[in-house]
Amino acid sequence: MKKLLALVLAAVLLAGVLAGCGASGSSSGGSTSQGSAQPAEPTELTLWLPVYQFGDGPSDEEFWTGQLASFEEENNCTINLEILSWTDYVTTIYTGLLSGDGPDVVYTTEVYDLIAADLLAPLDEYITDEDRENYIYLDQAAYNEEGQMCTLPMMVGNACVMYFNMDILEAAGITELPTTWDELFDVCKAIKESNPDVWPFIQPWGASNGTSALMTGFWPYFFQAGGTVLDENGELNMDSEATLEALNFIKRMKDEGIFDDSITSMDDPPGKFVSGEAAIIVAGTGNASTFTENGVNWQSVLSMEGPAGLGTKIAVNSLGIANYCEDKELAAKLIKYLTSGPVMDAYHSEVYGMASVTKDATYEEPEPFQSMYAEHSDVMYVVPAFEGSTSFENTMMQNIQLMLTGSLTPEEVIDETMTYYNEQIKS
Amino acid sequence: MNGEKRTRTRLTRRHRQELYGWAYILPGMVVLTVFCILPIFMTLYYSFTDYNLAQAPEFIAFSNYVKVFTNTQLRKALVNTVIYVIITVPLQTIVSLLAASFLANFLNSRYGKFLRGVIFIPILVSYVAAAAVWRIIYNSKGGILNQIIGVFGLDSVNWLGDAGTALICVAVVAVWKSAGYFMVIFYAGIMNISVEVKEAAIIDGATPRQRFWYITVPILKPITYMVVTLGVIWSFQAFDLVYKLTGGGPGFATTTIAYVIYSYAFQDRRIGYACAIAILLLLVILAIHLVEQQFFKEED
Repeated sequence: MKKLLALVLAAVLLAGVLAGCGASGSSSGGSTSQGSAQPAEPTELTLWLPVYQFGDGPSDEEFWTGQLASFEEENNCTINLEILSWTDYVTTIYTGLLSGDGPDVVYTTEVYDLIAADLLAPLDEYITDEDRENYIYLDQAAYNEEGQMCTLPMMVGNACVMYFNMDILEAAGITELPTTWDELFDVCKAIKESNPDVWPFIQPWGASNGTSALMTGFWPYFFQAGGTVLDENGELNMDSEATLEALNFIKRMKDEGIFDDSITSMDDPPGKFVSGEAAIIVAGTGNASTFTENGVNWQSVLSMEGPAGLGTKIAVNSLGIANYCEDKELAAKLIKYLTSGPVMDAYHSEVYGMASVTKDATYEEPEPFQSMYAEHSDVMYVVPAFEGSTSFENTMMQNIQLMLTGSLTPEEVIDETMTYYNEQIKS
Repeated sequence: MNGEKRTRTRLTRRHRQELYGWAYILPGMVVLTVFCILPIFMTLYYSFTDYNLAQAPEFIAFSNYVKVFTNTQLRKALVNTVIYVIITVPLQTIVSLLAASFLANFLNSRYGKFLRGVIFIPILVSYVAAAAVWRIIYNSKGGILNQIIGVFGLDSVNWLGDAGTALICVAVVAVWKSAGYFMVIFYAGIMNISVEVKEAAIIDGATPRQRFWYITVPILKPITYMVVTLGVIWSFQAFDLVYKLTGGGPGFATTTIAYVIYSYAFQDRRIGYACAIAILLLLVILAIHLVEQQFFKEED
């Protein structure tokens, strides 16, 4: 009897294991699209968007479900909405798109490999002249080798601007904000002299990945030095005078004692700025509310004037349509609806504030950022998609860390990074 | 007729027993095959492809392996990993053995139990939480460690931001984290040593040190073998602490092989390439394990 019972239990366990394996395989299909395995219903689309609600407002799901109701009714369709967390977001959308069982419409952040693998459909035929007139950032969309547009910008902003803690600056006798690299050095020295316990200026050279570190630590200065990431042939153009200028700027910060040795373990500049341990940082415009909520008396400018003038980095994330989507016309209609002025206005007001992407939108960023976006959009640059960008940024960060510890010169940073990129990353 | 029936019954019972055996081990075998054996073969397969998550894997023969051998970052990561293993494995083995021996021989009371619990606590803490705490301890400005050395008039050290100290700092946290676990294993081994053997040694006039060297250590050799084996494997797989404490930096000072594999696979999405490195890491660990096995066998 005992043996029989044990046998039954073992069989139940085995069945459970097998069912579990089966369920994991089918759940991705069941919960996403009925796309490739079974032909999708023509009036059914799967939409994947990431979480952007980090505050107290309506959740992303509540917001989008409300917004999509009218679209579904008007187009007699069903939108299967999935809100994904940022954890492994890129991996999730890659595997979803490659399996053919993922989203029909997807929010993308890193698109190079997706476009190279032909996983995203060209959108040109769905974009009318009127649309081209209305969308502000079409230049920042992602294009394939044939020059076809494969994504439509949805979230544009979080420009990396320079913040100043005015209490610290005033205590150091500084009443006017610096405008050039040299003036910035002078202000930093004055702060250091007046308050040696405070970081005059910090950058995230202890970040855990290159993308985070370079976003505020390198790219703004690279653009201020007149750098362009890709040349006219679409090849990586980082072995340039602008790269050298930007690296020399960073190195000078260390050489002149504005950064101390612990800069290579610095992973949270905004935290230091909030706690009053740092006087100046570069951070996204999205950080402003945190600074205000924490009582920091801050002011900001778009950027310092470098050798080539003003310049900073801006983020552009977009929507794309999976190549396997069976109703691309409806999908295109959906992405235009999602990015339309009224929908984005509501989204920016209720979920996450960013610059408007269409001319018919009315949402305005809080000042001084609205003016910055209005007046200086020509000096806000996107780091374009290129092969192995993440590897490149990681390698660049690690070599800059070596420069800050005195092991490499700026020229060697470029040399080492480009050699590694050409030999190991580029196919 | 009866004999024939008996034989048939006996055979049937044997078959039934075999069936029971298979039924008992089948769930475990399925789990093991699906989650352990199959992934190894999948990793091997991907290592010969250019799989990058965005497109279906294409066979590229040994290209990934050729690239691995010319990768300077990987060479640095291998050196770091070997140094990390050399620091952590002996240190955690010795610390846990000494702690277990001390607790078993001199503090086998309720205070000893309490101390045992305290030493074991780090193993219960997640790597992420442990790294967060140790980042505060190691902080170059106002960190607890710098405050302590400041009492002795020493200058602050940039523990995690200096290439000379970062890897050692990570190794120290790893030892702190795993010593308690190994201590419990050693402690159980020591408590299993026959009282007669200990008493005979005491009667023969052996000092505590002699008893430790000539009784405890030799008897614990199988356990030491297991502790060293596990220690080597875990240390070669060092990732979580590196990721949370230093991100592999400064420069490449704390980049380990496992960190490189993660970085290539999940940050760069070069799955095929990362799989090639993973296979080589597997071979390295196997080779070390064989050497280690030989060493302990010869010692026996």
